[in-house]
Amino acid sequence: MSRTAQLRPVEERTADESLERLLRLTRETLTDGSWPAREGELRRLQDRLGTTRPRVRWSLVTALSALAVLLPAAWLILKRPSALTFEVIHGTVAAGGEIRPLDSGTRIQFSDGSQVVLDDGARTQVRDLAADGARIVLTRGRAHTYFVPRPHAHWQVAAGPYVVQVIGTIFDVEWSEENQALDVWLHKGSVTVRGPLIDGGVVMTHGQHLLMRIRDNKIILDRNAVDTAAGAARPSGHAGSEELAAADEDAVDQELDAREDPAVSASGGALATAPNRRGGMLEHGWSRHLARGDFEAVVTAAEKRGIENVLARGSRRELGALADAARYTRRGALARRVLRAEQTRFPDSTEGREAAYFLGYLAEDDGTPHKAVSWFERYRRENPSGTYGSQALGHTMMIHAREQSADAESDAREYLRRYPNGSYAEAARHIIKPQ
Amino acid sequence: MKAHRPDSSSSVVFLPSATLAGADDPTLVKGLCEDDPRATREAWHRFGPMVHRLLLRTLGPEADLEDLSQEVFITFFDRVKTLRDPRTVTAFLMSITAFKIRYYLRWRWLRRWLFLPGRTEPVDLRSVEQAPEAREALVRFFKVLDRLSPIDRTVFTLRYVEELELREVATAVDLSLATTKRRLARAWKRVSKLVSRDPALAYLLSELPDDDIDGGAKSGGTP
Repeated sequence: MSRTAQLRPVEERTADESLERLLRLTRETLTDGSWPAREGELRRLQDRLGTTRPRVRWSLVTALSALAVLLPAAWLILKRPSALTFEVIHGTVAAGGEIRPLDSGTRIQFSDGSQVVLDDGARTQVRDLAADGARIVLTRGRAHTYFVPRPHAHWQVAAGPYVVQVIGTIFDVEWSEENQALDVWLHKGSVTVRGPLIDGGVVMTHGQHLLMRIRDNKIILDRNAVDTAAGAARPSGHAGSEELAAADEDAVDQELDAREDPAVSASGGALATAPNRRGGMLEHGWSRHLARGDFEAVVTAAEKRGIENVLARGSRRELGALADAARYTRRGALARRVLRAEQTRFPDSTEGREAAYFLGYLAEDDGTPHKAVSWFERYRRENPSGTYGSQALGHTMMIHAREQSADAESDAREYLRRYPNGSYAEAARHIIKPQ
Repeated sequence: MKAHRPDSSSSVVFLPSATLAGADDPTLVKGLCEDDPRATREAWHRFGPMVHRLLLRTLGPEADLEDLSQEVFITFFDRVKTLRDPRTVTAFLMSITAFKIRYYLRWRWLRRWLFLPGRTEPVDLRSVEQAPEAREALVRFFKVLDRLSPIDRTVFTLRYVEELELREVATAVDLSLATTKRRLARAWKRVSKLVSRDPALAYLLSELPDDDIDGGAKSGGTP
């Protein structure tokens, strides 16, 4: 009989059959026959028998000493915070790491809750990512930033030749390369701006606006017009002014959704009186909380309205904000429900299409890698040129690599072909290399 | 010439045999308890292959088998005096080996976790297996087994590779019969799943002629 005829097709074999074959192979290959019956080994054993007790005692002492050294070291290693991570939402990452907005609301979300929202036309990069912060380079355009106040946080925003040194604050920054002009609007906290014309740096406090015009040798530090106007518009001394402002923003949120979602439009009542304040991070109710890092507020507001109610009738933006807030506050079960609702109710929207990616992300976090791969693959299938295409493929590749699956190599080749400078490119090369 | 007569006070003396090769297990254990050096040698030759095979089949070709074998025998010689029934010496030694295996697997896990250096290069299997596909399949199979917990891996190997009875496995790992069955079922399911997810392993198996590995009788059995 020929060798080929002896072979059975792989497909015909069940997992149990394969395992049985492996067990038989192990039994037949690894036998007593490989026992090295060497006299030297016996002599070594006899020598050791005479010195066993002290040896054991020393082993114990050595092990305890090692533990005494290693445990504090391990504790220090575990205690040491790992570097921050970030994801780009509604944006693309070009070669070289430049982040470009796709539409309004493009956001760089950091793992500590800090975030940067980019206006249309803005160009930025995240560099020097560390455990306590990062350096954000704004090449052009306007960015709205929120940095979570933390001890020893170290954030910098570099805009042209200027550097804004940050310790937990909210501000907007804009750099115009053509005009060599910097604008900083500080909403909360304080920052120090350093660069040309201000060698010693300018310390800004809450509510100030800094304008730098290098060509005109002009420096203006005045009150922040936006904050002043907002302050004037609110009823002074009114205990519920914050709630009123939030209610206004919720109404704007509904209005914006009503234009996109007929179901919401039909139920909207107070829209005509709502002020239209589109643009910027103070635009929407839940989105506003999200932008400020107040994720709990979003979840609390949703719970107040009833999660089921929000899932069934909430607007697209509300679902998007709630899904993000749930993810950032590690409420995986809630996040999954919201994402599934996005898929069901708004299948053609960006949020609905991107939900698969985040579901994959959650599944991976939950330790269900195969489910994660399934979601990532669905995302890639439904969004061939989606924003998270490289991330989805990268995650899939890493999962396959961890599983020691042969798919890891094909994933790696595809990744390098499509994203040669992507964040998983190095890992992909590493996967292919040993072959 | 005067004929030699034996002295009436003399008696016949049986000189000890140079080896205990023909001795049964209780005699061997008695010799070990009396620190008879012949018993040490005989125990090494009698049980060495079994200990080596158990270690090899459980830990795979990467492990420091010779050192581990020595550790097993040192413990065995130290504890053999506590053995109540000398007829159970094989099970006793198997239990010590199973304990050493679990200890070694835990230590290996800790060593990897703490990034401590250790032996990582695989043993050359060419001496025991000619087919490169079979060698590669074995290496991959042991990588799959690396995913099991030390106790699951030990019971899995004792039952399905070493083909011990369930009760023998339970005794060797000092677990109840019910717990052993539960662990076996779980380990089988997991290994089967991991094997099915390794396309390279399926390919390697398909490259092996069936006669090479299908000849053995199926024992242990799928749970």
